[in-house]
This record gives sequence, C-alpha cells and structure tokens, in this order.
Amino acid sequence: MNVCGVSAQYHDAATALVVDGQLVSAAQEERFSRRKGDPSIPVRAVRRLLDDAGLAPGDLDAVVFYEKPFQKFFRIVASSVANAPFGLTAFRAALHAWFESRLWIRTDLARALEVPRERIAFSDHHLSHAAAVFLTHDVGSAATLVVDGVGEWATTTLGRMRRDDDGLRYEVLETVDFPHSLGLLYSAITAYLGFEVNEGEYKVMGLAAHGEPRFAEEIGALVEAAADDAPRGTGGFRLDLRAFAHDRSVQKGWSRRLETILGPPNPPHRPFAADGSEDARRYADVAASLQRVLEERLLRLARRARELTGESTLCYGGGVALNAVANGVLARSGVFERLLVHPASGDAGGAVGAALAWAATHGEPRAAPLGAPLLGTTPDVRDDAPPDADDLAWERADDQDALCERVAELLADDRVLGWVHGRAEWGPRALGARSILARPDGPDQQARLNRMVKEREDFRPFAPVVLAHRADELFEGFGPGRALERRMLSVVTVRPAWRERLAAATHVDGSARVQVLHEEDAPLLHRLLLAFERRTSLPALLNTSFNHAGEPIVDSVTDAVASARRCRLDALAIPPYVGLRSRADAVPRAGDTTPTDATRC
Amino acid sequence: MLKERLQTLGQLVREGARPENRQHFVLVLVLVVAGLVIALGAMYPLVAPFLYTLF
Repeated sequence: MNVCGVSAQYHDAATALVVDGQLVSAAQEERFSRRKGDPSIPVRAVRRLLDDAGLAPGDLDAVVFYEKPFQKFFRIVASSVANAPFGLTAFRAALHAWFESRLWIRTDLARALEVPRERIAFSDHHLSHAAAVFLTHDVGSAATLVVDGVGEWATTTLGRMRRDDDGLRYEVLETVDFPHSLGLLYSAITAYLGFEVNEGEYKVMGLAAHGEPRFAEEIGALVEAAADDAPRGTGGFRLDLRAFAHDRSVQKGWSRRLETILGPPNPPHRPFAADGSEDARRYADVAASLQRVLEERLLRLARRARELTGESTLCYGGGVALNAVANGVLARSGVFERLLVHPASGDAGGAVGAALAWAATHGEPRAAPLGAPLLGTTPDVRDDAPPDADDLAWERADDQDALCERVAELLADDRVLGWVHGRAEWGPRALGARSILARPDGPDQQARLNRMVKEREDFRPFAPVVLAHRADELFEGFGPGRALERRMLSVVTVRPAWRERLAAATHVDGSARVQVLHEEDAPLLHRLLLAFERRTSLPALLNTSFNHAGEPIVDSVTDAVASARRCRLDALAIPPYVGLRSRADAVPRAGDTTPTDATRC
Repeated sequence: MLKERLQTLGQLVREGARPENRQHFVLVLVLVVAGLVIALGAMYPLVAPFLYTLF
C-alpha cells in the first residue's frame, strides 16, 4: 500500500511517502521550488519522492491531506458571525481566498498529482500532528499534546493515542478552540516585535535570552489558565481577546490594549538592533516574558495531560513544539518520563502524520521508529567529475578518511565550509546533511558568521554539534535519554569551563541548541568530528543550516554551489570532492580587513 | 472543471447541514452562492473584474 501525505495552502507545504506502512521519504516543497516557506501544493516534492521510490502517481492508493478544509471554512464563518460587524475586511479576504483556491483542494490535488479524486482523503489537523510523533516512535500508548496556531477549530488538544490489533486509537480528552491559542499569542507578539509571522518566531526565542521577563505578569494575565482541578473537558486556558485581534483581522494580531500594556510595537520589517537602547531592551524583555509565560502554560498542559491519561510518555506536536527552549523545560520538568517530539513538528510534519495515520487505520499500524530524520533526497554527485562551479578549485579525496582529514584541516584553519552529504534532513534543523560548519571558538566568530555568511541579526545564536561520548563533559541539562538533543529539538546549558571554547555556539545566557551526534546517525560527519578533535582537541563544531538569508536550506548540488557563492563560503565539501575558494573572495577572518559594507552578498 | 466545483459545493452544503454546523447553515448557503460567483470569476479571468465588483 502506497500512501502520500500532503500539507499545503498556508505555509511550509510538504509531502511524505509511506510504503507498506513504513515512512520512506518526506520533503518540503521549498527545497525544490527554492521559495522559503512555499505554501503551494507540493507537486515538485511529490514527483521527486515518487521518482526516487520508483513509483508513479497511479501507484498511490491514497493521497491524504493533513486537515479538513470544510471544517476550517465553517470556523471562519462562525468567527465572522461572532465578530460581526467587525472584521468584515478580513472576512471578505477570506472568502476570496477560500472560493478561489482553498475550497477546491480535492480537485486541485487530484489534477496536480494526477490521481483520481476518489483517492484523495482528509485527516484531522491535530490528529496529523499527534500521529506524526506517535507513529514515528516505538511506543505502544502515550499521552498526546498538540499546541499550534489553529487547526480546524482546535488550537490545543490533549489526548491519548495507542496502537491495537485494529490499528490506531486516538482519544481526544480536552481541547482549546480558536480564538484562544498559544500559537497565535506567540505569533501576535512576534509581529508586535517587528518580525514576520511563521518565520520570526525563532528570532523571538533567540531574543528572549537577551531580556528579563519583567512583563511576565502582564502577559500571563492575558492567558487565563483553568484551575488545576478543573473537571475533565474544561481545562486549558483562555486569551483575553481585548488585547488581540487575530479573530477579526488579517493585518494585525493585537489591539491597542496590548500596546497600552507593553508599549509601542517595533515597526514591521525594521531590522531589530540589539543596540542597548531603551526600546531594544524593552523588546527583549517582552520576548523573555512571552517565553516565560509560554513555558508556564505548557507545563500546566503537560501536567494536565499526565493527570488525565496516567501515561508516562508524552507525544508533543504542533508548531509550538518547534520552540526548543520550551521543549527543554518540558523535558527536564520530569512531568513525563519520556518526551517525544517530531523533527518537523509544524505543519510540514502534518504530511507525515496524515499519511501514517491513514496507513495505520487501513491495516498497516506498525510503522518502524524513525531513526535519524534524513528522509529527503540524495545529492546528485558524479563520481568521475566535480560539481560544476568555476569559482571553486576542486580536489578529490581518495577515501573518506582523506576527505575528513582535509576538511578537518580547513576547519581547524578557521575556514567556513558548506557540507552536503547523504539524504537531506526532514524538518527545519540542519543535522549534518546540509550544513555550514565552522570552528565553534573565537569571540568574533558568531558576528562574523551572522553578518558575513548568513546576513542575519547579530543576536541570533548558532548551534554546536558534539560527539555523543563527550557531550556530558561540555553540556548539562539534557532531557531523559538525550532523545531531543539528538535532533536539535531542545536547548541545554554549556558548562562554564567550555563557554569560551564554544563561544560562537553559546547563546548569551549560556545555553545552546546542541546536536548530540551518534555515529549511526551520520557516520561521515562523526568521522569528521573525530578528525577535527584530533587537530584541535575540540569535540564540537559550529553547525548551522546551509542557506543564505531568506532562502530555504539547499537540497541539490546546484543549490549548494549557488548558496556557497552567495554566502562566500571558504570551501564546499560534497564528498568525495572539496572545493576551495580563493582567499580574496572568501569570508574575512578575524584580523582580516573587513569590507565597509558588511551586508555585501 | 465546473462540474467538479459544483460537486465540491454540494459536499460543502451537505457538511453544513450536519448537526454540529447547522447553526450557520443559512449563512453557508448564502456564502456558497456568493462563492460560486467568485469561483466563476477565478475560472474565467475575462469576467472576473465584473463579478468581483459585487464583493
């Protein structure tokens, strides 16, 4: 049985392919269209995954869309009635969006993917999220917690999922419905801080470490939590909607009341400057306060889930589960013995959940647990000729040891290097398949990479990848089994003795979103880390996603060559080849003359 | 394509008639009519400017 899961229409369109109950591949459309967050029907991704699997569209038994569009439409109608006469402009815009495209998703999917209409099926949004976590782990039953902006109606769902002989059982125990939403609260304040919604939430999380949570009480008062002993079905929280406008406006998610409480917003698209000004400090404090409130509410929800289900494992999903700082707090809280998070827990991951849930309820309930989430495409490297890029001088390594020694030598020499090897990662984190690697030490390294390579805000941190057997020596605060840290889904603390040597990968508060690397997850990268450790005595590298500002992570060799040029990387490693850029064209190092225009691409 | 659009609208009306959605059924019917016009406009760009002035 071949099942294709699809998420699309809002942001991060993606597809997943399940063959005989096993997840064989998954990819976001943006990797192929080269349009960040591409929401369109993932035609390119589906075709590529089918080609790689040797399947044709006609071989698909079902194409499962990750949510129910009619239910979503009814929610918009009901919200508009509730808010009338306000929100008319938003309602009119929604009508056009729905009747021009969203409502016809069955027809559009059938035409675009060349499958019969009757093979198109629909999952429930939060079921898709919960299944994406549950069915990719080896667990028989678990509590589920899904927290995001909004699905059809639900914004938060507490439940229980289990496998049995008949397939999959999903019991919803409590929900919080739109417009009360932790995800939309986070998005509203993301926009208030001047960042782009669905893109800037990571920046808010990074900015939070620069601030003090002095607005936590005020923001907390806007998210009224139910009593801990609330009767079943009445738990959760309610937003004070007087401070928000996401239920009646598509332009702005907050009202003047929020500005009265927090002060004037940062104008949209104005680059945030951590310049120590009063406004900058206030924005950082707002971010820190939001993060604090989010963590507190999530902890309450987790405790509630434990109480309602009695389970010892929590499958946690939805877009809010991309917040690695909050994930770390949840994992370390001990509310659950195991915390499981899908590597693409946002809407992209819904494609995986929709496909696996459909397979599980149609006779294929035993999906194998997902190991390293490398579910994307393999780079098209020719063995007999280097990639086509005249701006790089290519060398061919005789074997993997020679390649790792050469790359380690370059990294030890403070070169910034692109690394493309094996199947691409599934999810937003670069786990060593499509990464930019650099030395993690040096006080100027973070600013150098932020400004010169990735052209992004100075306050944003980079992440380290560390050899698993030395992880405890460098970091503390791991969750149970270090499961989340293996996929960069949680944040830990860098031990003080190592902060200087990991300066570029240590955030301002001493934290780091580490990737703990086991040999079986990425053998070649593991070998490279060992070679780098032999040369420098550092068992870690700085690892960031291989993309330039505003572009998706690279997928193919062609993408990598183009992005390496834009980022002016010193070198590009696409085993068995290593391409070197001339020193004059490469990223300046500490001590080099810095160009006056630091934003040069 | 029009046939498929009408099929979808029929499904939408049937869903709207279910007990959990029934409180907005009349509004859904009105919107389906309005939406049909929008959909026609989207399908035939030449008439779209005239139809869209209605909304």
